[in-house]
Amino acid sequence: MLVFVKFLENESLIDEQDLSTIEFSKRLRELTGWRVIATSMMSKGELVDYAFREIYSRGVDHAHVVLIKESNVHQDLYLSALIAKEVIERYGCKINVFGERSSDTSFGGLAGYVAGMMSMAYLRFVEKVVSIDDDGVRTVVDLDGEVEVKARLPVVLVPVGELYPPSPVSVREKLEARKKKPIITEAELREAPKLLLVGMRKPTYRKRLGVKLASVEELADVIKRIAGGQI
Amino acid sequence: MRALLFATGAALDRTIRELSSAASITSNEHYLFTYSEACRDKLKLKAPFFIRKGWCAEKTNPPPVLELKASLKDIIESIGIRYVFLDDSPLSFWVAPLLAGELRAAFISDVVGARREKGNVVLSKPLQEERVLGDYALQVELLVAIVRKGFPAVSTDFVEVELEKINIERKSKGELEYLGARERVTSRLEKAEIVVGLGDGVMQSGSLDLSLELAKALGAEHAVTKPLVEKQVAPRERMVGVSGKRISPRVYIALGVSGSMYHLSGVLSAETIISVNKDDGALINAFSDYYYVGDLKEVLPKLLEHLRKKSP
Repeated sequence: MLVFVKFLENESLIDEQDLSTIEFSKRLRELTGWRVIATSMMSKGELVDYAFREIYSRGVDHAHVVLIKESNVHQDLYLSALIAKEVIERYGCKINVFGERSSDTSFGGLAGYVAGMMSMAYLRFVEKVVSIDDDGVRTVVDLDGEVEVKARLPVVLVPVGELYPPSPVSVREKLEARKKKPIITEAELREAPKLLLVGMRKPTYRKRLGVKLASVEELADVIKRIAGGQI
Repeated sequence: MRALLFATGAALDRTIRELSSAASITSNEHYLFTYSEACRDKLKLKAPFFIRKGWCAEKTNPPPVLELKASLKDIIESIGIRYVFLDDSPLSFWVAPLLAGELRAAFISDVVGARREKGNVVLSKPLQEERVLGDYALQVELLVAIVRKGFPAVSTDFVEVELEKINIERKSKGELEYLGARERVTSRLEKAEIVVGLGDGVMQSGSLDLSLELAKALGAEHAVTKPLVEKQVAPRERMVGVSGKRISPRVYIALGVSGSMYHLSGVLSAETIISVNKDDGALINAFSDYYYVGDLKEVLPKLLEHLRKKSP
């Protein structure tokens, strides 16, 4: 199975949500015995070793980094999806795990986009995987209530990150991770982005009154006035 | 150019107004597809701008994701839709990227602004944990976009829309098979007029019970920040923020919420924000209409007492 990982802070820190997706993948490994392959897209080749020591120390079996030359890959979901598709096809992964809003480079939706593009079953808000066999994966998802859904394989899964807090990393795991190397490939992009980042600016928010209240009594008066009546 | 609006959930009128405002940048002919309880009542929807035709699908639980996607695809292909704008409901976040991937369309979520610049459509969305806004120029003419709640809606005259009912039948052919559903007691967060938001400060000060008492006394719903879900103090359906719900209550009272943009992005369209936090420098204060600095453990008993006092 494949787990997609995004790095933050100048590509040196694993996105917190993806620590949960790695944890989720490890639980699936316990169910299936299948290997966990972590993959990430990075533009800074010099950080790969450091970044993947971080990933290996989290207990994945293999790691694959795709070096991207064009920074715009990080800004266009379509190009990111093409790269993800190539990696999935390379390993023939039956289960592909993505973070809810993270491994998709700020866009939200990479998981679904890849599933749509590759005609795979797609499950979001996965709370629990009940069982996996050749026939499919049986899950409990959160969609207007808890729903038990069975999906055929191959499948794209997005777990509820809050339910899979990352386990702590020991010094031994960190040392072991130093011995492992990732597979590194370069992305070949033959298509143009569908969206082009043309500018970045500071957001402006609605101006609030910003009144500092001097006492609890004042606070109560404001709540009575605005929230309506007394209780 | 034709745009299709897809709306679900609560506050349908406002949602459609927001979607129409975003769509007006790209198109002058709007179509509507809704998946809503309102359909059950065969309600004539009032929508802004010119909506040429509307469809509604009866709400079923759980939502038939693949069939909804197929219906959207049928509409897009049969009437030549170029732009699809969806509300930011969990259902849209499920259906939209799947649809976009299948159609190989451009996809963008969390759209908070749209404009035309030198003839090009430019869409804005927050990046880097909401710290900056990115402006994206559309390079193709098939777009699937999720519009964030609170998108600035343009005020226009209303027109009545007749909705044609679409029967959504489950026919996933084994791709997804629903084995059973347990309907959750809805938190009614999205519809609530008053919401009391509980942050980690509530836990640190041991004020959970008093905070819930305040919410109950005000007839409010309570929402939580991510740490409270992680600590399993509240279910995920009450979480507000980037990966939780986005709400627009009349009053949002934040208790012990420090104000990370992760959480704030979910409440910024509240009409009035009142906050109580022990840290004078907390970010939430800058986003509040009224704020009080104090320890919740001391503030809440006094506040409840004052609120219960009869006015002279």
